[in-house]
Amino acid sequence: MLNPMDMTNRRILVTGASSGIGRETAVLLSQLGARVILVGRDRSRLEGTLSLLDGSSHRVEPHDLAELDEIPAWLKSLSQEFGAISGLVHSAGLQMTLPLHRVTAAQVSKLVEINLTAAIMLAKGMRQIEVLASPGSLVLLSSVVGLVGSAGRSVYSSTKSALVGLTKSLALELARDGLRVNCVAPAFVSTPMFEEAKNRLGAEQISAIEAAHPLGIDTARDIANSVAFLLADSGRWITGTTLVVDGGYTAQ
Amino acid sequence: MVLSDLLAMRGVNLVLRAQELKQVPYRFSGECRRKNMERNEKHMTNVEFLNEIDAIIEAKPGTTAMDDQLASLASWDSMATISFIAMADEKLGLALNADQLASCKTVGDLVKLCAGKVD
Repeated sequence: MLNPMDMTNRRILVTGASSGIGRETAVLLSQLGARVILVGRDRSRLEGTLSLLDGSSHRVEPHDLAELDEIPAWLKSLSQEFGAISGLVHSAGLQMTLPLHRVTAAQVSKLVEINLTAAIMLAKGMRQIEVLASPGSLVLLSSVVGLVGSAGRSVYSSTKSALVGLTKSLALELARDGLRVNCVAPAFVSTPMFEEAKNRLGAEQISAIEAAHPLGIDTARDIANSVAFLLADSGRWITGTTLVVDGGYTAQ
Repeated sequence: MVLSDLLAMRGVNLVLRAQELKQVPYRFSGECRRKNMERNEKHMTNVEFLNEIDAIIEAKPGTTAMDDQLASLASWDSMATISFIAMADEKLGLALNADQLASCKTVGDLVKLCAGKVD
């Protein structure tokens, strides 16, 4: 049976694979035949993801992306060990909700480092001739708040908005290398992070959040489906785009 | 500004990960344990607590008193609530939630919510 999203034996690296969208993406990619490299800070949580994957040729790779300058060399060493990489998903990220008058420059720098600079360095590493199994695909995780405003989330939304611009410029620059670059912008999905947020936000805010999604709050699998679509040959003529997957959040 | 106003301004996408605001990601579990120990040792005096409330509502130090009604503080809104939860996490090592804060009527009630961390 024809499967346009088949990724049999393709090596794909997923950052933030310990939980949420990163974990769900890794699971789906394994079900589509990919060999997945799971990246996160905590080995035991990555092994939790590994236990959910189909197939056996996956790898757990604990790594701290805060070591930004090391990222290209680290990707080169990974490709030497496991083979060239045809896909990379940058799902790792930090969130912050705080009124502007409480924001510090150090907090801004931290979010920029992980959400934006790490994405740039991953792209820099991915395009290396020893690393990229061309044609390749890079997928970044933006957010609906990179597209529309959200009070109290100015720092987070600006980093996510930056990814939309980064995606377009990298798409142009890396087309000659055979590397497509796209972005997925999710709204709220049901993840451990969202479950934790429920405790913090209270019933009133949670019901308002749910009401802002005409199709309701759905699962991380809905985001993973779009990421896989952009990684696989189904997305082979798509580059520089931001795919909004939000249950109607930004339609309003 | 009340919560519903905030949400109407598309401020609905509120996720609080205050514990992620502060430091470089921990590289070693030993460092995590040390940080957790530090969190358990965090506390502040009543005066420091009131100064934090003043900072959250952008009032001069010494403005707020323990028996002040939160509803009477001009700037005590949903953003202040978010700031308070972030402050309690960062400076007191407490994970509070919005429903707990909603039940507080006075500044003193906030102190009770931080039982054992403010004296």
